Amino acid sequence: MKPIRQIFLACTLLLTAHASLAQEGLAVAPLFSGQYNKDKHAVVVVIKGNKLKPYDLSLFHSITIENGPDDVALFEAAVLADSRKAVNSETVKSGEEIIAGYYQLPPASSDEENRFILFRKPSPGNATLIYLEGDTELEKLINLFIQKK
Amino acid sequence: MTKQAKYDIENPDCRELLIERYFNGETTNREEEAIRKFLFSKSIDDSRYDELRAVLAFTGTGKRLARETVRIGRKRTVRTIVRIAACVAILLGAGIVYLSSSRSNCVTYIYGQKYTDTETAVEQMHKTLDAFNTPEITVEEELSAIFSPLENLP
Repeated sequence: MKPIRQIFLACTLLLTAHASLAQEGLAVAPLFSGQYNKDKHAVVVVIKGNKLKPYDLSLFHSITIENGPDDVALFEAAVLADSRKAVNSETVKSGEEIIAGYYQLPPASSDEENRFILFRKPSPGNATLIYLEGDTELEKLINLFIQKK
Repeated sequence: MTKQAKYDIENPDCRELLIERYFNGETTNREEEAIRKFLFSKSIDDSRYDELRAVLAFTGTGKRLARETVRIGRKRTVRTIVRIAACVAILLGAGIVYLSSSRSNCVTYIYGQKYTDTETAVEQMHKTLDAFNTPEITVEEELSAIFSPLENLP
């Protein structure tokens, strides 16, 4: 029965590796590890596959926090850390404070898709963090999702 | 009788004793092999051993055939396992590719409550994105705020 066991093990490892690669090397990765799934102040959305094809995306993962200033501070710090790796970015400020930031990050490896972080903080206790993966560009996403009229 | 004497097939007394034990089904494999070796490797013109030769030849053939059957059976079992494993691997691989590429995989957690239907996920996605679209300050406005002071100069 060894061959079957080995095949199952290999498949399991492949699946695990695939799932863990999504936010590889990013400061926001721990936030998307599932810790907000059961949070009473959070809305978490994960979409993969066909539904995202019209947007040239393969992954949509968002966390919206309400009345959680500590979590919002964590989001902000992680986004700030990742923003330094961005190859393209746009920010919206209110005074000196960033209330929204859109960042395009390089792929985890050369043969993978672009990665994007969209962050919005309308108030100190509320924030939305979106992680996207796809074969597209930041400008397209901003035009598509944010500046749609 | 010592252990050495048991296998002393050249000794007529021991030989007779061994043959008697063989017919009684009391000999070990080594003892049986010793008898077989003696009777088939040497030209013994003793008709007393004809019956024993016939029995040994018959059981020897039977044993050989049984061994081959077991070996073939084992080979078939290994081949079957490998075939099943290959089929399982192909099905799993196809399943992984199908699930990861073509089908939508949606999960939504709304305030701790889990939903797995696509409609809820898509609805929440649009709701989330709409929040980015609120008419507070947009990138355009931000950019215009940067450049407008120059344009508005008297």
